[in-house]
Amino acid sequence: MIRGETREETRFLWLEHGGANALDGASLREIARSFEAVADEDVRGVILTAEGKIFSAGLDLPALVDADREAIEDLLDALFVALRAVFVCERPVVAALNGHAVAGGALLALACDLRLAASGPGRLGLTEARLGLPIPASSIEMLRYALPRPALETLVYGADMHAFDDARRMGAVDEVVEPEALLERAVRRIEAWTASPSAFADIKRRLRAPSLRAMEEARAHESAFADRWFEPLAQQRIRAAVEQLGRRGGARGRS
Amino acid sequence: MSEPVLVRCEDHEHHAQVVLARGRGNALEPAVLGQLAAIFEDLRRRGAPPVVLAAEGRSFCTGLDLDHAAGLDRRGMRELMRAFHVGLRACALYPGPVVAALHGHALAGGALLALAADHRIMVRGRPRFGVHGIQLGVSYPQVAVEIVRHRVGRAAAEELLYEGRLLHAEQACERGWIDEVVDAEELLVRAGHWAVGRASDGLSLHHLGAGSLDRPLSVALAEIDAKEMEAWLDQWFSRSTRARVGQAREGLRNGVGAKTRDADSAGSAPAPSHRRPGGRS
Repeated sequence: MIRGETREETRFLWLEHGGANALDGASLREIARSFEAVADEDVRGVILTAEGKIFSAGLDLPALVDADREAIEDLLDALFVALRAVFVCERPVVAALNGHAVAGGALLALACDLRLAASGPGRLGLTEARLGLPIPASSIEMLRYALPRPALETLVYGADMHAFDDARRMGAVDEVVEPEALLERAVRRIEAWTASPSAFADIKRRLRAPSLRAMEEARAHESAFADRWFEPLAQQRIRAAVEQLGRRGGARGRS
Repeated sequence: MSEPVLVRCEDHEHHAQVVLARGRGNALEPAVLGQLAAIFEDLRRRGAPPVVLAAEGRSFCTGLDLDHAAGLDRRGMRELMRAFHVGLRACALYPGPVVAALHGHALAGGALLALAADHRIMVRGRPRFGVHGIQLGVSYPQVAVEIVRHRVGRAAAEELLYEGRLLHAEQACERGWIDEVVDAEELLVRAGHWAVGRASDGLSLHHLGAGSLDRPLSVALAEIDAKEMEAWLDQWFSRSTRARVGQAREGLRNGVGAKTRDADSAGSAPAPSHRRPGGRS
């Protein structure tokens, strides 16, 4: 589900899960493990990316549609563990957005240090509210670090998808580059931050420490997500979304 | 036993001008930081008039005094960093408006001091602004990191601290590290204007807003986290940091001069040869 590859002293992590790189408990835990393993690798930084039109479409709704409460709580735990692992990775981490970053997929990108996006049709958004779901409390704390306040409110309350250029103007994306230059540019951005890996790790830890504490404290309030998940409104919308995906069929598979 | 005046406070009609006047790049050591904190505390008691934070000599401030720091053991260094915390906090949480008037280089701890102010105005031309500790393998204590994040926001803070570049005023302004660029002869007039404008009619709008606006910062700076302090001291006293700081001091002694040397290498900071991760200090 995650393909790892090391070249140019950089760890490339490719999301590979169906066409849409949808996230379930297993793939989220694998993402966490991949990032934790980076600490022991002799690399300058990490690039999280994917191939095709989609970076990640977010939670794997078809796989979750019949989940019980325990499974949803486990999913939420896996999401926290993955976002935390990306957020605290001591090397520079760049999300190279080849295409759409939706909901959980956008959260994953926003946990990175930088978001570089390929120019083209790709969009980014936190669409959870459209399904009647809240964004988990710990993820909100992570977003508070990553996003300027107006962007945070626009993304969370608006729940829309935004073209990468618009996302850049908001501060949700750092740079938009030609698709063929995306990975090269990501490698260069990492290089600029490698004057002293130990000082980088220490500064990054200090910059993020208050947010990390807030993320951990917020976990106590996360049962709201599971509560909402099983309310009729969310259930109805999740099922409608899955049905729509099923009708769209093959090519994109899950999203 | 009067202590030499290293920081001066001049009363102007509508504002106070606090002037770093130590010489030697106005590099920071405990006495300078102590006087700075005492002046801000005194001004606060006098009703917190607007402050222009300026300096004399070639540089605004070249950061921590490395010659002083090099002779310090762990306890001495801890004292210096406490003084640094207290000095920066006094400036950052001063209830009136504070504008830093940068006529010369503001480097590392000097740039951090300027970032503790509410507003930064810098002259165009030769001087540089930046926090380049990472080029020496040096991280920054929590107080500094919090101030930078609160003042310039996440993206600009990361660019400033992670790259460690020293930039001319125009470029620093584009990145949001400083707020205004002016010609040298306009600097103090413009700075006084800004400060007084924030506190017009004696009714300081700034006082009313800053208490709440800066609340997260004041909570973050309330006390020194002992564990974080020790972690910072661990990396300061690590062998690799010692070696790189030693090289930097040697550069100074050989007359290259922190200011010009930093300025020359700033635009294209050479990639250090041992940039591979692994050897964590």
